[in-house]
Amino acid sequence: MLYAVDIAYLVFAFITLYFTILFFLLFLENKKSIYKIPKLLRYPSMSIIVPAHNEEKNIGKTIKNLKKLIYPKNKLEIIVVNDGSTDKTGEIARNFKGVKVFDKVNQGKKAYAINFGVSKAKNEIIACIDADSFPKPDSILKAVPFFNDPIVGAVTTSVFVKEPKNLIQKLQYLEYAMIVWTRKLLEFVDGIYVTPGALSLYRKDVLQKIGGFDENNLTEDIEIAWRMIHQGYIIKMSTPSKVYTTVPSSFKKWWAQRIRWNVGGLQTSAKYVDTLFRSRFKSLGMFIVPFFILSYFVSLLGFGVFVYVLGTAIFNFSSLFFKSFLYKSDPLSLINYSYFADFLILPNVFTIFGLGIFILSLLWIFISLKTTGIKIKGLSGVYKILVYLTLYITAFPIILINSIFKFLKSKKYSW
Amino acid sequence: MKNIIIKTTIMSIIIFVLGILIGVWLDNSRIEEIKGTLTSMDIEWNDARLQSSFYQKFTNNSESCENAIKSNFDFNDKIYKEGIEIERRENVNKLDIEIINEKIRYALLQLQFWSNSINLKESCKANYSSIVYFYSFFDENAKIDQRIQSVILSDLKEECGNKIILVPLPFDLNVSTVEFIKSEYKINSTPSLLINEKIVLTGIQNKEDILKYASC
Repeated sequence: MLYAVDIAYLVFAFITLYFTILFFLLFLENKKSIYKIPKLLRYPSMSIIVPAHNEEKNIGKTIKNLKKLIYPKNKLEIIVVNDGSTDKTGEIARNFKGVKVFDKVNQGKKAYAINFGVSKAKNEIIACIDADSFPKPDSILKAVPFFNDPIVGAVTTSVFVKEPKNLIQKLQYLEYAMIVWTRKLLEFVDGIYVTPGALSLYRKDVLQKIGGFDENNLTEDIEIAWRMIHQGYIIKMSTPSKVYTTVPSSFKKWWAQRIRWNVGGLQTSAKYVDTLFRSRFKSLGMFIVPFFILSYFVSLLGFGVFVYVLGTAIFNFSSLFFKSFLYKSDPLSLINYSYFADFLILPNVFTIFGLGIFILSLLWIFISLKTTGIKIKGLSGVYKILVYLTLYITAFPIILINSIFKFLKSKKYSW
Repeated sequence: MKNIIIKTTIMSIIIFVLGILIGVWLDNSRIEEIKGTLTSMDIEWNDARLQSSFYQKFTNNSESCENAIKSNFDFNDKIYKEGIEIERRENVNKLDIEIINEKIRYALLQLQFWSNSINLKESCKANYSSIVYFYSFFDENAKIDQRIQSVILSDLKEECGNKIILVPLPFDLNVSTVEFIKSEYKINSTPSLLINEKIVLTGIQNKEDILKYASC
């Protein structure tokens, strides 16, 4: 018999299947275009903005990397916004020749620092780079040609994790590779919903026309992307442009970062929810906003089903155990009577969809790793993938629920 | 974008429906298995009943009783084991309600077996106890207690062997004979046990409690 939870599971399975098929179709249809970049027609002048708040450990290395960029030096301007650092960030940045360092008072959000940098920038293209991110020398050169098309407002790049050391960083290493793959695929439906702070390029005139980065939003890199599309621009991704970024090294830091991302995502969704299914907002109303809302829904639904099934199983099992002692029955006989084993030996519609989703998820990981050139070795690689698919992914809906509460309570955040 | 969304929608629906159809097919094939099992049990039951009737006609009374009781017990073992298999299948079946009909068929077979056991007990003065176990098919809240009771009863059956017969009956499938028994013995909840057609015990009963009324 089908119960409400069974129907919820089938709805979850259908939505998951839908998005998986969407990405696989996008991949199959655009396989050859993933690493393609347009022909470089000219070198537009470029201002690189590095907002930095207490980044003395990384800022020197980042600037060194920027100095190695393959781009005409007379067309390149490097601006470091020292955002109220209390350490030696400003001092270190000033030691580099040709780097413009501007000090400002920290106002709590990164958007203030970037907008400040944009106001100081003189060039046509603005490249924003986090102070703990390290672009490859050819990253900008391979991103600039996408601006040949005047409708392109921003170009994002492939962000990878720099030197992952512990498990949480290694899991993010996997995750970032998958994000690179999926973000590029989203480009083919004009669905890129974020221009990550690690390295993204913008037309300065477009940034100014649409009013710069939203200083009230926690994820200014998501909001700016949505606003650009809202204003009729498109966002491209240059897959060959690679940048390596530092990621949280502890579970606590990772959790805090994800809460911030989610609250920012919720802020942005709330801001643009009125574009939902409105074709005049093109991909924003017809794809990005529905995609976000559905992903929230499916995440909560999947988690709800998971908690219900797990909770019921734990409750039933503990009741069985308790009562079996109470009534002097053999608890081992109860263990033998395993529903789980029956679901494998006697598969039903749930086993089919469960296994199907698991296999598709594995395929998703392998294709994204292969496409992005990330190599996973041996048993430890398999172990990481399994941890990713089980524990890591399970944390997402918990973070989302936490973020929803924080968003509803309008808690103030700083970066 | 429109193109890819249409393609995705069509493919998702096709794959999803295919998954559901495979699920229905698996459920159906399990129902067919149950049907096959019940049909062969039906045949065996008729054979056993005829056999016992012929024994009583053609052989001396004590020998015929012994054989009739033996084939009755053999059938009890078989029907009980098959019952567990049917329960396993009904637990995983999600998309087919036909299983309820098979469950009713199984209940009728159990009732016939129980009726025969009562007759044998009377005509052959047999010394075994009958335990009729009433369980709910639909009530999710009763499932834990019923599982405990099932385990206690199967342990008891294993321990006592041919000294007891075990007859599990679904409480809420609207089988008129079961309804009659329920009202006759005032059985209103599950799990309940009817021992030797006399004593009704309601709620989980442990081995010691049951053995106060049934001999082992």
